[in-house]
Amino acid sequence: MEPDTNAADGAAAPPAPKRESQLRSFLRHRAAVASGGILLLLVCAAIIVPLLWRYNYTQLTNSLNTPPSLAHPLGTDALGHDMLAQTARALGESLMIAAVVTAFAITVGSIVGLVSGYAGGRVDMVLMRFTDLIMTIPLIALAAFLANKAGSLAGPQWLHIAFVLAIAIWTWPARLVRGVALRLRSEDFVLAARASGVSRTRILATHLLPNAMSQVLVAAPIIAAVSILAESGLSFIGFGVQPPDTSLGVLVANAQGEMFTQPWLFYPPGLLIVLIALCGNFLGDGLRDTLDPRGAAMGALGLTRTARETGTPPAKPTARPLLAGPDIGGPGDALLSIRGLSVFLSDGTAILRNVSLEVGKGEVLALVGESGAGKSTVGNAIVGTLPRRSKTYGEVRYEGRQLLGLGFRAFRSIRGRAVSMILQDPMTCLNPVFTVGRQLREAYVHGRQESRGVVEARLVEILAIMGIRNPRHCYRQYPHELSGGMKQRVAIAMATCNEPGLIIADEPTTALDVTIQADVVDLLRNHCVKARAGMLFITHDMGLVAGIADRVAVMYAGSIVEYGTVEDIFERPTMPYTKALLGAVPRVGQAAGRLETIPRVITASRNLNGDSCPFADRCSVRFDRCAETPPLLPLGDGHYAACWHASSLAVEA
Amino acid sequence: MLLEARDVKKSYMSRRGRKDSHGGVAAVDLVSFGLYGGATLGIVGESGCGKSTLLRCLVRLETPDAGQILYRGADLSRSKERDLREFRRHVQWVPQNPYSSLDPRMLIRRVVAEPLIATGRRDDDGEVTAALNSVGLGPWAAQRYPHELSGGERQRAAIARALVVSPQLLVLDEPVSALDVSVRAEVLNLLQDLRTEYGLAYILVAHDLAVVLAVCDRVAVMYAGQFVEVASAEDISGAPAHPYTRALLSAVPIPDPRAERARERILLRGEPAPLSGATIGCRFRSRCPVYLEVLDAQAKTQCNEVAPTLQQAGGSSHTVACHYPD
Amino acid sequence: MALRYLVKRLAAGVGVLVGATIIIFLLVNAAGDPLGPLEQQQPPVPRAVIAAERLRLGLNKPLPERYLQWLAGVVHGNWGPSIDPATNIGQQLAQRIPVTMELVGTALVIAIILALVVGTIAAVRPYGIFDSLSTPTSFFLLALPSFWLAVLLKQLGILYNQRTETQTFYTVGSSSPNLAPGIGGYILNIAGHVILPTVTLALIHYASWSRYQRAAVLDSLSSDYVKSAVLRGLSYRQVLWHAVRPALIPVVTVIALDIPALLSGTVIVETVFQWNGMGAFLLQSITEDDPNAIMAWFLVAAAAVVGFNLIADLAYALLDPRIRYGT
Repeated sequence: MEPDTNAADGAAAPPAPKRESQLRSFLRHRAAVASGGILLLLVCAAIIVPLLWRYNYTQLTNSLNTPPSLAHPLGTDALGHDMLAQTARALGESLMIAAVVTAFAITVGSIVGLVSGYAGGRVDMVLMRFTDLIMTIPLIALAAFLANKAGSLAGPQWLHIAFVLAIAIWTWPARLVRGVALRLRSEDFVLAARASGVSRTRILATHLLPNAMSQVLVAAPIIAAVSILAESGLSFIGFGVQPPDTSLGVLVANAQGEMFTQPWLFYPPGLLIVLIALCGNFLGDGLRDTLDPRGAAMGALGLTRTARETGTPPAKPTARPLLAGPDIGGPGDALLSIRGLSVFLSDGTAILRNVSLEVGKGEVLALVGESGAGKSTVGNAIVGTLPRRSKTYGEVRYEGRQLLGLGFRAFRSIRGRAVSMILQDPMTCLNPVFTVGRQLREAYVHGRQESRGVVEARLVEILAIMGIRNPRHCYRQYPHELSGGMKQRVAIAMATCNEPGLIIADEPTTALDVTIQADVVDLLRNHCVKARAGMLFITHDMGLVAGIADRVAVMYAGSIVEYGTVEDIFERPTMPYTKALLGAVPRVGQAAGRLETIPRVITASRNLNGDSCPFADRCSVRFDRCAETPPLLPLGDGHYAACWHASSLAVEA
Repeated sequence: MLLEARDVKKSYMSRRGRKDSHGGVAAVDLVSFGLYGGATLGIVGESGCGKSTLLRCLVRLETPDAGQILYRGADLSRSKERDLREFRRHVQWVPQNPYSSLDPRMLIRRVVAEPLIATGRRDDDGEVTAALNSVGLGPWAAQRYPHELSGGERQRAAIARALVVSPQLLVLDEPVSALDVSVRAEVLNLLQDLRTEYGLAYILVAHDLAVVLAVCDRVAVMYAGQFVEVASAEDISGAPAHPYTRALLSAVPIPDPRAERARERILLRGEPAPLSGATIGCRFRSRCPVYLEVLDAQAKTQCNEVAPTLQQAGGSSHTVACHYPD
Repeated sequence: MALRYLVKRLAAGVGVLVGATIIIFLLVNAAGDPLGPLEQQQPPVPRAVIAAERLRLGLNKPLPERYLQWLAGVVHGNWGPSIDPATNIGQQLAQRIPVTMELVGTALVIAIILALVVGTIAAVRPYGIFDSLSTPTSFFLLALPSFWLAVLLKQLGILYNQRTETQTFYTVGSSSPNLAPGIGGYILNIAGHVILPTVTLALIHYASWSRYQRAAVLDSLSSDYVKSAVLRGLSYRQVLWHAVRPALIPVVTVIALDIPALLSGTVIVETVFQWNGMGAFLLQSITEDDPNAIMAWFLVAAAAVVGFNLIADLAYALLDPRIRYGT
């Protein structure tokens, strides 16, 4: 047997991943960077212009109502104010108020949100009721009322206005942060910290706060945009900044009637507000893409760019032209015949390399492999649901007809009728807003003339055959009322109701309990036998394969590495990967001994390029010839293995 | 005895808010077992049987509603956080999903060191490296972020985090279900090695019987919040007494085509019963092949009215909760 | 069942309203003495007059008692005395609420329809021609201050009228005597008044709702159930409906949350177009420092928000069977 290598200890460290600093990542967002730049420019202008410009914003000159000129770049108004000075002052006021509001809203909102989200229970309920109540009051109304009252208080006016607006706006970041805190509270890493005895405060500080802060940072520029719109609106109706002081909203209010006669009074302040708000939104977008790319902060299941797959590495792109696959043999007029199928992503990565297989009528072919091997891709290629920008080569023939490249219309006659597919997760494959019956009917009805009653009776019968206890009731139910096992049975009913010739089952039982799984697998097998349908059964579970398959294709890194009858594969595994895979499965009744593992990377990969055997860098019997990709070599009787050792290692029957 | 549970019960308000007489859904209903130092117990059950809830009660992430959890003889089921310090150091929890069990914003080094800090010890590089070594990760791993590691490596890191404080008991919730087949083998081997080297005790929960049997000496089968059979690994696979255990065994696929196709499948009708508050009698009877096909009406009354409790069956350490375990 | 759900939401709504009354009352009355300006008026107002005013407005009683009295009055339709003895708050409300409802209702309908249509089309062909036009437009509209847009449209309307020498757009007031004959003339009259203010209000909210709709439909299009629909061999239209129909649910939430903002918008739009609706009433009441009037306004606004939220709850029940049949 193969030597047992658990080479992780002492093995060379995998190459350090390229880490992009957050700054660099942010700088790639041109819109966000430009927005940040513009905002910075405006802030500088608001500070510098009043210092350097010869006119003061309260100063009255002798030129009344003059359009823009060298002396007055933004013209003058009816009283002789220089508009550049006024606009700069207004810009400064508006920006300052927006900044203060943002700071205040974020601080108060974050505190409330964190406390509420992490504490949960009654505290959360009370705080959220309070927040909700504030949120039901229209912002401008509240602000106008408070600003009016605050007018009599001591202190600078802009501070009052900022305060007043902040009282209305803090609710939004509070809700945001609360959402983050709630989600994080039940994340596994927080639970693990609690189970290790980490104190609550520490968890808040080290786990919750950084994650929440990034969300807050993303929200900040958007809050600023909202603030400036709110402040200018308030000032426009007369309850914000009061003369002699000015803000952008006041300027617009003053210029209301003069839009055509003195456009230089009307457009600049309005356009400035738009510019600031736009920049704020773009900046927020850019920050979001940098700091919180697709749930990275939430530890979601989506792998980010630098992650590596678990069982198999992604297929390396190959430079050599692709050959047609070998003659696989099997019955002459196979139901499904795939030759030389290769699929490349838009960036050139190969996810399938030269795959060839066949499924005959009434035959079950199991496609086995770990994640990343490309098995689902084969299924997708057959039914035409590959990602949009991928390139496909080769042949996929169903009853002789080439399926690759068919358009939506052409595929319509095939999908669900001749070829159907069962998806992995029953929880999400049924539309939650339509009844089971309706979804079944849709699948069944195309091209049939029968009346509704007849159709319903037939479908109820099918549901009964699927093992659903109360089919008539189930027909009228919505998916959320069914259990996982029942949903999968409905999915199988939908896939088989038109008696397709070929069924593709993509990990149909992964999400089900093992007792239900046995039932469902039996169901599938019986259907295939009765209807003489061929089935492509995609799975990672070798036990299932042993139970249901007639023939097996083992996949690794986008290629088929071994192919044969189920006895061939289990009793005479030839390719080292197949052997390792079989040895890795724990068996009931087997003494609790060590399981076979596949080493991570034994040899440095500098000698290996896209033309070598994909398994070479983890293979314990690798030798020189493995620098060349082995094709599927025949071992006799329809058994093939893609390994140069094939002839010598083929075990006698 | 290292850890013992006595009649632990944990309920949740049923989602429909219906007022049961017991005030809710019993996710864990009167579970008892004992574990000695260095021993391993595997808990097998399907979705909704309450095994994850039981684990969370055992590590005091949740407080049980009733019953006791004794650590070295001291009842901790109601203790306050500050009294649990020692307990938390000696009993470590490894969560299920390696993709979410490590804070994505923290370097592995910090992640593994966290329990050290929590138990008031110094954040020592040496301890971190030692922990990483013992799970087969080199020092390079300490400088990586979780998303830069593969699933198997992440799971090892999670185990390293548990090991860094030299615990006596590891509680593992589905440690390999999110991993690929070949990677599972690595982690299962690792668990065996760690046990041999450090004398760790395990409580391991899984829905895959083969996984449990690969690591654990003793197995408890759980259904609808209760243990229905507890026995050694050999007895569970060789001489299962409870009908559910037998059905479970027959449902686990065997990677051997001749054996798999030759064997007789015991199919259970229906779905795992939705947990409801008060149930009289045996909870399994709606699906039990013995009840439905073999027993006569008179024999059924026993199952209808009396909930079976764990009784001796066969060997000395083999208990089963069934009225007709034959 | 759906009925139980709706009753629960109704009860919750009433609870919110009661909570709102407390906050509103505290806010308005704890914020200062409404008779302050009167006391500082020159020439000084006789003390007796001030005392009488205080009595009339009920300001001499303790806070909780005033609250209960006010609340009791409101429930019976008595909104309390205005600071201007000639004004009847209830009457004002009766006149002004329909005006504002006309504005809000029309804007809501326009914005919703536009948002659903545009958002869906943009999602079905993302980054295509339609999306490349509608997305920047939405971004721009989101950054546009409503008052600026209002003034812009108003002036453009005036310009159009001048150039065509007609009275197509009415930019002042919500209605005027109908000079043109017949039903056609009547409709044109109403439309002419309504169109500019409504478009102003609708455009801004349409922008944010259409973005949400686009995101919701995109999300739905990449779901397993849509893939499942494709795999069943459904037609393009059927698949689209499978995607769009569930995507309507999250948008309802967004719209309901935006209702207070919509009401804020009416304050500004009514100011610019000089409609005698609730918006104008609020500003007037604030300027005159009329606490009962202000409270009445806030309460009506809160009631409107609660009312719209109930409609949203009804929409949920209709759209989402998980709510209809309880999870």
